[in-house]
This record gives sequence, C-alpha cells and structure tokens, in this order.
Amino acid sequence: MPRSVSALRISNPVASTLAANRLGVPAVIFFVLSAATPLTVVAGVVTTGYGTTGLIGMAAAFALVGVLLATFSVGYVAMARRVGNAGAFYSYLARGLGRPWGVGGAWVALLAYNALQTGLYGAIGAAATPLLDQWAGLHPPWWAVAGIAWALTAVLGLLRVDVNGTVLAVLLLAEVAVITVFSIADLLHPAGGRVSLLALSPGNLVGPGAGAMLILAVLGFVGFESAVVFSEESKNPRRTIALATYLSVGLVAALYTLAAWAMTVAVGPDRIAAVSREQGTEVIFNLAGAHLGSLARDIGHVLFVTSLLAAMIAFHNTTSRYMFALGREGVLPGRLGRTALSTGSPSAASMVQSGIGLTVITIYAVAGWDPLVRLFYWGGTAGGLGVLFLIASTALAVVVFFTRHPSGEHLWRRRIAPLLAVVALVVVVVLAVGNIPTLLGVPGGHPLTWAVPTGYLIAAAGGTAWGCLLRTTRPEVYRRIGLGAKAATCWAETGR
Amino acid sequence: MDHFAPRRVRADLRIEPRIEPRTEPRTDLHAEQTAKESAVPPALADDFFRLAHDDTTGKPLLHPRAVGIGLASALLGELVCGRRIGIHAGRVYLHDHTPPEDALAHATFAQLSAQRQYDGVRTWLGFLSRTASEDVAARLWRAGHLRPVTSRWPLRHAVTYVPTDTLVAVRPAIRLTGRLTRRERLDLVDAFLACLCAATGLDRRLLRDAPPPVREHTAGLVHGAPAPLRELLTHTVAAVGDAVLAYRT
Repeated sequence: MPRSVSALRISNPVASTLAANRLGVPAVIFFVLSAATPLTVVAGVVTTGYGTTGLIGMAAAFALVGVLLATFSVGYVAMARRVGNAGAFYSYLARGLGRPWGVGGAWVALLAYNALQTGLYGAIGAAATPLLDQWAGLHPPWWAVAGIAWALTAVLGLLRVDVNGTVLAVLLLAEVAVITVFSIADLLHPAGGRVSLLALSPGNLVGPGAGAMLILAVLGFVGFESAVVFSEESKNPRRTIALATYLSVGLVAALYTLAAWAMTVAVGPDRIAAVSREQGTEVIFNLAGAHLGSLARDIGHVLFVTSLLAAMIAFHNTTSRYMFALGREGVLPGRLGRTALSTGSPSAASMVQSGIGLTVITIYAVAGWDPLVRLFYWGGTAGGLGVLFLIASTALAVVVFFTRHPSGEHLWRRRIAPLLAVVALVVVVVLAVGNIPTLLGVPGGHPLTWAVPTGYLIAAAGGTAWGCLLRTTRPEVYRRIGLGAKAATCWAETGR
Repeated sequence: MDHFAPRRVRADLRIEPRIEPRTEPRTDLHAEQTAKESAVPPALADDFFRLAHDDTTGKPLLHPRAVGIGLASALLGELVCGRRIGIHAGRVYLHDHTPPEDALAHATFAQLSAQRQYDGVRTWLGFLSRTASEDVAARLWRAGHLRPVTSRWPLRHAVTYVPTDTLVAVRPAIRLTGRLTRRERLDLVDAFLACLCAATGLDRRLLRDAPPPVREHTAGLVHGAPAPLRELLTHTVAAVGDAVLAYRT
C-alpha cells in the first residue's frame, strides 16, 4: 500500500534500498515520450501522410485520438495494477479474454512492432541525405545510409547499449522545442495572410478517408502504453502511472495537433497535399528555412536524424525484449529467451530482429522500391493499424476483466470509461479497415488493401490456435501465458 | 505489502512436510560430506562466486546483475540448507532463530528477521543482489581466497577480487563439469549449484564442451530439488529474466 518513501527510509534499509531509484511522474513521462521521438512523427509521418492521402484532417484526428486514448487509459491503467506483465497488450488479452487470445495478440504485436521498426530504415536515407549533401557533398543511395543505421542498431542491441536516458531526455526536449518554434513561426507566416482553421475542423473526420487520418494519428501515439511497465518502479503505483499516462497522451496530442495544423496554415490547406508529395519530409524544414533562416533548418535536420536513430534503437530494444519475454514464457521458441553471458542482452531475440531488418532493407534495395513511401510510410501505417487492433481488443479485455473482477475500482474506471473506449475504438477500427486504400494511397483493388488486414488476421488466428494447442500439449506453459519473463517461469518444463 | 503473520508460519510449518531440504537420496560417496554439512551449512555462495568469475583474473563471466542475483539466491540457499529459513508460495519463513555461525549468513539472517514485513522471495533476491557480490567477495577475502586489486587506470577506482590460488578457484567448475558430464548422482550442494548455473545462464559456459544431452540433464535437475530450493531457483530464473527487461541506462 502506498506509504511515504521518506518515512520508510529512516527506519527501513530494505524499503530505502528498493526505493532508492523509484521513478516519479516526470521520469516516467520522459521514458515514455523519449521512445516516441516526436520529430520522426511530425517531419516523417505527418508530411508523408498529407502527401499520400491528400486529406487535411490530421490535426483534428490527433486531438480526437488523444481524447479517445485518454478514455481508454482509464480502464487500462486500472487493470495494470492487477496484471503481472503490465505494458504488453497481450497480457491484458490473456487475463481479460482468455490465454489463447493472448497468444494471438502477442503474434499480432510482434508483426506490428516489426513493421514499425523496419519501416524506420526507410526514412533514415531521406533524413540524412540533405545533411550529407550540405556537409560533404555526398549523395549515397538510401540503402547505404539505412545499412549503416542498421549496423549501428544491431551492434548496440547486442552490446545492450541503450541510448542513455539523459541523452534521450535532452534530444526529446530539443525536438519538442524545435517543433514548437517551427510551428509558431508557421502560424506567424500564414499562406495568403490569413490563419486558416480548416485543418482543425471536426468536419474533416466525418468525410471519406477519416479512417486513414485516425490510423495515422494512432501511429503518432504508439508507445503511450509503456508507462505501466514502470508500475513496480514508481513512487506511487496508483497515482504516478495514471498521471504519467494521461500527461503523456495529452502532451503528444497537443504537440502533434499544433504541428500538423501549423503546417497547413503556412502552406495553405488547399496546397499541403501537393507540396508534401513534392517535398516529402522536407516540408517542415523548408518552411523553417524560409521563416527562421538556414540555421534553424539545419538544427531541424540534425534532430530529425538523431530522432530517427533513437526511434530505431528504442523500437529494436522494445521488440527484441518482447520476443525475449515470449521465449522465456515458452510461447515462442525457448532459444529466444536466452541472454548473452557477459552483457546480459537478449541476444538471440536481438539477432532475429536484426536479421529481419537486414532482409527487408535488402529486398527494397534490390527491387528498387521507394523507401520513404513504400517502406517508412507503409510499414509505419501497417504497424499503426496493428497497434490500433491491439488497443481495441485490449479495451474489450479491460471491460470483460472488470465484469468478472469488479471489486476495488469505482464505476467510472471499471465500467463507464472502458465501455466508452470500446465503442469508440470499434468505430475507429471499422473506419480504418474501410479506408486502407486511402491510407496507403493505392487504388481500391490493390493487393495491399487486403494483404495488410489479412496478415494480422492470420497472425491472430495462428497465435490463438497455437495457444489452444499449448493448452493440451503443454499445460504448464499454457498456465503461464501472459505472465512474461518476470513471473516464475516454466523454465523447468521447457528446458529453456 | 502483507505483514508477516507468525501464526500462519507455524501452520505452514505443520502442513509443509517437504520443507526439509535433505530429502535427496544420496550415494555413499557423499555420506561423509553430508555429515559434515549438517553441522556447518555449505558455503554455496563461495562456490557460485568462483564459478561465476574467471579463476585467474577474477573478472565476472556473467553480466554483473546476473552474478548479483545468483549470489543472492545462493545466500538464501545457504540459509535454507542450514534450516534457518523455509520458502513456500513465494514467501520466506523463519524456522530457527539461532543465528548462523558464519558472519555473512548471520548478517543476512539478521536482516531477514529484522525486516519481517518483507517476506517476498523476489523482494529479498532484489535486495540482496545489490550487495551480494561485495559481501561474498569480502567473505572469501577474509578467508584468504581472494585479494583486492585496484584498477590501474586512473579515475577508475574499480576493485577486482583476484583469486589467491587459481587451483582452489577452479575447483568447483572442474568438480561440477566432471560430475555433470559423467551423469553422477549429485549431492544437494552440487545439484543446487548446477541448477543455479542453469538459472543464470552460466551453464552455457560451464558446459560449453559437453554434449547437448548433458545440458538437458542439467536443466532437468531442478525437478529433483527439494521444494523450497526448487521454488528459490524458479524465482531466480524469473529475477534474471526481469533484470533483462527492466534494464535501463
């Protein structure tokens, strides 16, 4: 039960040692947001989104999804206190809907996180080229830049060098400052001399293509779910984590809404799609160059590169730890649960992850596909769709869980907010699946429009079937599904 | 956290017939050693320390967090073998209030009994793992088995404990590898050490030249361990896995 840490410290060495590096609200927010790397979203996702979909409602979509995810978080944070392996959506599914669904969710999550992670390799080339050109006059192919970034990520992943928390915090603050300053400059230089509120109008979200905007907005929020990971390490699990989650969602929503809107104001809502298609990720930097001078543009460029690198490393580590936890649990092959002896990194999972990344980069390089749209944007949006599926099914799991275990939470937390979240998220999912062609910028009958949702469906069905199979073949493993690496494991049964 | 309930302890003692660690069948080979052990609890942590560090340089062979958790587990294991504590359903119970003779075991036991409001095995593994390396190194140093060597690099005040006698330091590894490879029946000490190696990942190094069936055999040894030790080992595996996930810089 929550007690004052300082009172315990005087009398109690165990409490004071264990509480020595307890996290407060700001620390948790930093951990959550630093992996979100806002400039990657604003300069990469928002601009490519404008160009590909031709819609302008992204600012309104960020605001709406922010409200939606805050509502979802009410039940999510409440349930986190009862889940052993908080932070991973599949453990909520396992606890709420049943263990086989948990395995299905885990497979969907692996697919989605891999799409997000490998997608980032597609943007690094576009981000680094202006700098390399300016500084060294080099014009390397995108895959060479991606290859270097891949090697860096792979090595750091194996050496277990996470980007230092302080470095991430400084980068995060710099990115937020740059986005805010650029946006204010955009608003002070509106196209046609008039600040247009068109992009903020909720009317954008009822027309065709609304689902596409909503997926893009969800993509911007990926990572908000991880605050609950720190439940056990926070000063006051009830208050710290809930507050950190709400504040993270609120900050992200405010920042992205501002940035997406400011861009349409500066370029003009009628021209933003054409300009984005033509300039790609450079839109925000070209605007900054015009309004604030070349130094501001260069700072933005450098931060875009560091932002992408930080995102790559963060996602690499998240995904490989996810695989590690599943391997440890016995849901994936036990080998994935191995660590490197001297560094303690989840080496097997990390290498699998790197292998996937290299394969994807090679395929795109050989086939000559456009890395920015086809790898970064498609990978990102496909991953965002998977995360949306996970959030929606987690919302359902929260409702079911609190129907079965209603004690300890009041009506708003256990019933009203989760039900609102489920209804809203189901609507978003339906809109999203209907708008996949718009989202990806492909014609209606394109194979991708059914391949992406079918891929997730196969992963979900396969995982669920695997979960059912485990129930009969390895009940010991089955019993522990969703508990993650921290629960007393099925080590003896699987022989690792 | 639940407060330690003395009444429940006694009830648990009564209903837990397997709390006695010495139910393992033994060969005659170890009869003499067993008699000695029951008087003086085995220094499990000393042997694990030697297994987890290079026998000449004293450098850790595992990630320091894993070494710490393994040593914390060994320290608790010593108290279980010495019949001072029992472990059941994730909690540590005090059996016997006579302080152990060994200074470090005494200190550990004193902490356990002074802080009874914390009785979770994971809490204690986490707490002890932070200082276990230093503590066990100090015990070996007092016994003359290690000597501290300060790093030669300026500004790096890291102290490494180097074995004074390589032959003594390498002994547990040779003994364990030999017995595991020959599939000998292990006494409680060696069985626990082998399981601890498997729990921390050290078995991959210890048995790197052994055929795969030996490793499987080692991983399966945990089934034969007495209930309290089996539970301790399971929590050790979980703590090592958790340390990988909760890692941050």
